[in-house]
Amino acid sequence: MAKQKKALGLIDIIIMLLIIAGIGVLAYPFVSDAYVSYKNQQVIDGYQQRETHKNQAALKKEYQSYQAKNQAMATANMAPGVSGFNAAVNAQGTAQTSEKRNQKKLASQTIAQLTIPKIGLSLPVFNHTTDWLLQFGACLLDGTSYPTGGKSTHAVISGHRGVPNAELFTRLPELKQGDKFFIRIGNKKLAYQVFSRRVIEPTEVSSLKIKPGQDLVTLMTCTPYMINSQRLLITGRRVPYHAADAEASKWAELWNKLKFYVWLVAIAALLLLMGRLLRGLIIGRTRYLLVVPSGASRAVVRRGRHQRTFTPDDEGRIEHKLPGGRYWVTVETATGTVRYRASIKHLKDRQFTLKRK
Amino acid sequence: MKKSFLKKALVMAGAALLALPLVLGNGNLVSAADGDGATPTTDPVAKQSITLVKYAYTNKADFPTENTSDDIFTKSTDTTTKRLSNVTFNVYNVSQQYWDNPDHYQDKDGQIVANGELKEAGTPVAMKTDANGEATASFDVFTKVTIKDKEVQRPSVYVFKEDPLTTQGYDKQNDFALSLPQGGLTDGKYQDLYVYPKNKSTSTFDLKFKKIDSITKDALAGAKFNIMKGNLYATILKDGTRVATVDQYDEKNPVDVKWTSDKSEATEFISDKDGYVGFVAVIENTQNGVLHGIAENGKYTAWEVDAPAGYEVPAKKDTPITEKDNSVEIPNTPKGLLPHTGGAGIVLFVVLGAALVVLGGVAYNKRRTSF
Repeated sequence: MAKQKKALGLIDIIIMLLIIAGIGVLAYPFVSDAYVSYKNQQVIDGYQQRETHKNQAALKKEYQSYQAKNQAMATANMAPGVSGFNAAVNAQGTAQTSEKRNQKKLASQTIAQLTIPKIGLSLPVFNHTTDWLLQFGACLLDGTSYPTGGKSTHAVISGHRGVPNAELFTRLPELKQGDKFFIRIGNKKLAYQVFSRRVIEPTEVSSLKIKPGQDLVTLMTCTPYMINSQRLLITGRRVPYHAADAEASKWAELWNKLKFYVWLVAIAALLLLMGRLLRGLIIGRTRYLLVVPSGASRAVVRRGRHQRTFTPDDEGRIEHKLPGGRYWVTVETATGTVRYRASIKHLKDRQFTLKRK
Repeated sequence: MKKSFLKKALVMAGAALLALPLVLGNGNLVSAADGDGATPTTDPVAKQSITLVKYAYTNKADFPTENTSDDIFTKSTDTTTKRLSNVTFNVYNVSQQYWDNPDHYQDKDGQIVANGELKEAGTPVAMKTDANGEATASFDVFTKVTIKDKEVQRPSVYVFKEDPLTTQGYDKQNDFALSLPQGGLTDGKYQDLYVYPKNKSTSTFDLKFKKIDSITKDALAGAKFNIMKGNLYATILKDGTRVATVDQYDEKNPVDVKWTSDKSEATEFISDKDGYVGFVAVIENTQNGVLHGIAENGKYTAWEVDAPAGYEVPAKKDTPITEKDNSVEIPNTPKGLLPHTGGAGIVLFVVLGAALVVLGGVAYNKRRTSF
């Protein structure tokens, strides 16, 4: 008896690994983004809950402390983006921090929520900028106002663009003049409308200074995509917050939660596909008996570009062992030609199942 | 206490007195001690011009020549030594007092002792040094004095008193006496005289400010400045030649500073590791018509030429500074502060992932076609 063949050969394993790795790499940015979005939404929910549970007095006090700091900044004409900043963010900025995500730490540093319905974005805003924080959400640029709104404030919120682990500000350039984004801080909801888009050198911090009397928020990210040598500034001016804005924000938040479930389903589907592939490989390695219905004078078996012709043996039967898979079998009988599709129904089958076409 | 004039000149480097033997008009050297008995040639209208050249120095090494080398009859060709302008000398004619008792005003060497003994008398002639540190005036060679109730012409004796208010920052110049005439007549005229009183500077002044980081307030080294007085640039001189850069504030060693309108001559001051910029120099003075030194309470400007690496040059480059106030801090804002918020994108992932899948897929299919 011939030696029992293993279910999978080395090449089959390599093929399997190639496909698994390929799908993994391909899906990583999207799945990671979905995961980050989902976890961020938890941070935001936590933040919202925390803020709602605070009593009015506490909220007011917190808000006032932000405002006081803003006022001090406006008077000092402070330069944006400093205060030990250089140490916290490396020059290449590719977020090479090994520290893992820490929900508690993130939540404690969340001071606001940024929502941009147009690009389905809902992110926590952290109180300062570090490489570590930039991996997970939007960061308030040190030396700029807290996003409290109010005259003579200019909050600058920076976010990553083009990092593989999360989408963050990747789609920020899609914001055009007139588009709105929203900030929720404490129990206050603020709406800003984009009126200026600019590209500056990373050294031009002066363009981020407070403009006396104006209520501005600038969203900042790197540009051009993948090159990141300059900074894109999208500046919005405060506009009234409408009910429709709340609705749009809600959808953005929901989408950020849903993304994760969508990908869970997708992963399940992918696993299923993998199973099919594996089965296909095992079948392909096993030989099954092709039994052509009796009475055939000739059978042509074809798969892809390859084909073989079988004639009846001494007993008038056409029986051959072939590697598992799908074949077209053209059977010539006295009465004419019949086409069959031969395939393996179950892994354990001994022979091909023929289906007349 | 009486003090020999010569001794004084040697002992006190700062107070240069000129005591000269009385020389009579006919050229005969006559000790003032015999003055009373002598019968000098008297010319009531004769005049002799005296030019004061006021020198200043900060330490002895700067001024190796003592009085002795000065020639009273020739104008000094020394143009490099510092001179002081706007110094006032009040010159008193003390002939009467002197001739009342000539012996009393002489030391044992026959020199006239000026200090304290010969009192101010009458209305002084004020001599004020000009931009070149020089002052010239003509004096009567002979003065009518009353001796034993008899009016006689006698060689004049003058006492020069420096107004200390006009030489602030320097040692006080001792009074000095000069008797005329000096030298003989040339074509019926007395020769011009040149006297070189010297002042040692006692006080130095400094210009100093600090360069700091606008946020952390830390001292910043490496900021480059010009220091200006009005539209004149400070040039630091060492042994008379320009020093291009000064990168250390040195409070111990006063430097020679010249104020020039030529920007290319300006010295570049670089903030040191403690952030300080500046220099110490003697009081403002004029040499050859060129301004030197630092004026007490003077107003100056720090002009920022370049910021330290990594910092922005401020829009307003000039900062007023004064001699008096050394606490001025000039901040720099750090630059290059916007975070790097970009990655390499997901293209690599997509391309690599797709390539792997395609490769796997092709191999998978290939493996199942031949049979």
